[in-house]
Amino acid sequence: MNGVRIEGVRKAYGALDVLHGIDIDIEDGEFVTLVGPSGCGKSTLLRMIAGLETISDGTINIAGRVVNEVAPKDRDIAMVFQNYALYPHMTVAQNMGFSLKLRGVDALKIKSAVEAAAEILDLSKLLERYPKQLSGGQRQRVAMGRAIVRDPEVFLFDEPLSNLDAKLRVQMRSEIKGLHQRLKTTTIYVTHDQIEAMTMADKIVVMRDGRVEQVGKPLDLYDRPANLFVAGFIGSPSMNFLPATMSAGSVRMADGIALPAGARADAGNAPQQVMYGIRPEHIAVAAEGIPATVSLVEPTGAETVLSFAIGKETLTAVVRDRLSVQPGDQVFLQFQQGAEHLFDAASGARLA
Amino acid sequence: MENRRRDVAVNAVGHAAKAGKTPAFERQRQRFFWLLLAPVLAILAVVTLLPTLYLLVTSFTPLNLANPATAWDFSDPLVNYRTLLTDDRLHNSFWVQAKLSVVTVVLQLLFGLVVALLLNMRTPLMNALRTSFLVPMVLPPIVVAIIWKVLYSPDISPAWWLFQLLGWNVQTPITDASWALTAIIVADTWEWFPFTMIIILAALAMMPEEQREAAEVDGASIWQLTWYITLPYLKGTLLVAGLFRLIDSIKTFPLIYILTDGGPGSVTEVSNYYIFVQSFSFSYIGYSAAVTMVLLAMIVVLSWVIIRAVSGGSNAQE
Repeated sequence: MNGVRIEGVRKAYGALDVLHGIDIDIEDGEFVTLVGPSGCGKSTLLRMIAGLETISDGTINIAGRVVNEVAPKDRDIAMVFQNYALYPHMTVAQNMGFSLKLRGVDALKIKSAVEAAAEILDLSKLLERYPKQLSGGQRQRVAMGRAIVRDPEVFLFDEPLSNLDAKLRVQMRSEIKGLHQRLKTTTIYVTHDQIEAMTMADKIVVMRDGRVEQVGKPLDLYDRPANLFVAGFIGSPSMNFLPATMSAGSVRMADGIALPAGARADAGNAPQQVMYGIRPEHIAVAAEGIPATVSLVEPTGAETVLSFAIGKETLTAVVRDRLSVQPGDQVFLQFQQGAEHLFDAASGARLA
Repeated sequence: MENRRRDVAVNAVGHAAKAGKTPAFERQRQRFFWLLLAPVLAILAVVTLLPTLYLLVTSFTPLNLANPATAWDFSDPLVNYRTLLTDDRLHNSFWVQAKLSVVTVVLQLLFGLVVALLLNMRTPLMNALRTSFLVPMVLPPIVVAIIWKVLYSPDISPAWWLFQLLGWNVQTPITDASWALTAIIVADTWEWFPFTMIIILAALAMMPEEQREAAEVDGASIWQLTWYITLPYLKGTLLVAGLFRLIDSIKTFPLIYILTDGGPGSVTEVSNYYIFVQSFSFSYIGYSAAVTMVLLAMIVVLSWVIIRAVSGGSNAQE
């Protein structure tokens, strides 16, 4: 089989375990993002796939071959580093052709491979420049060019956009996605930015503390997060969580406010402590519903972010209408039917 | 960082020039800088500039300690400079100096580089050895000279004890005209390669890990990594370390004084040592002052080259 298979992979630094048994299947040609907060082990996992870190236990399989003992140069991978890692004393063309030169490919073939990659990345006019003469976005493209020239089995990206400004990041995001659609090379992309993960990936792997929390398509993760962590991590602004008690037929907050939960509330018989999750974009201000007090109004242009107090809890809503509300106003909130998520308060796991 | 700050300063001046005159706050800032520099400049003037000026004045006199009155004899101010143009022993000393400097600098760079690359592998053995490599440099130069004097003296040298055991009949190099300079070169290289080594080690420690990893993923073997990535990265550092050693090599004295006394004949007599002989063996203070001025001029030129190289080097790193 092609693609990448990660089975029971562990990483320990002495007594410190940083990855506790990771299993991920990556199909040939798939674009997978590893996403999670700093320190979750996503970069370590990527570096293990690259061969820059040893594997303490488990196996990594690239294109049908276990690579645990294979040197990085023989794994048929190309990696784009966070700081680009361009060779400062080489021109753009030399940077891009370096891996071919090391393999003893003849100069003419290198030249045409570099020119072809430069064409794809719009770097043709910059081939004779040195990295220090390039802007951040151009350096990023050269780093990608260096990877493309190799025509590897797998592309590895380690937070490649985190050093770019916001506008360029959005642009490069589309370029990388477009590039993947053209080349269809298996890609593993590490980021801490869930928007990057959502927009680019065929499949997202959400990680925390060295464990995989959930694997799935971007919208599946958004629609049915497996637990509180994924629910809070995917989506911006984050999902609202209201501690509540579920007993036959209803979900109520501590101060007695009933939360709409439809048929799901019938699930348990005995009263159960739950976290009631509702995304900001699924809340509307209406003539009747849950009483709330406006505490903050943040217009962003297309939409407005509103913060409310309901009982002792705070709640964020995103609305597209331009409401004339002020902090301190009393309003009523309607939750979109069926948009609620229920999680077990103790384990954080999704209910129903 | 440094450059950026300089750019800002240049920009500030540029804007001021456009405006027609330096703004008051900028002048105030400049005054403050001078104020902070003043103590250092004052000390430098007293301990460096004044003696140099005195030396310059003396170089225009035929001062001879046997005749103190000559200290103020300016009747023929250029006599010393005319003499040094035709002084074959001086010219020979420049040639000896050139040979010693070029060969020791090259060897020190080579050894320093190789040892630094080995130490940079950070194996436990290398970590343990790291400090011991610094020993030659931190020993007082006179001690280093005495160590080598012992090593080169057949009666007491452990090396000759070994040679004898092997049945070899080896002459000591320090009294052999064709080997004396080589003996000095060996000792000097041993004493000073730790200097280039430590500078190169520092540069290696600063080398971005990602570049090395990128090359590894690109398919470089350890040799290719060193040749294509590490050495080009170290180019500026090697240049600077080499130039520093070059300047320092002109000051070589204890090794020559202890090991060979400039001999046999004058095969190891470098300019520095020749000046010492002229002033303290022959008491020709005026003449040696003139030679010193010439040597000083050469060092100033070299220093200028270094400063250019250092600032150019840091630009290249960006």
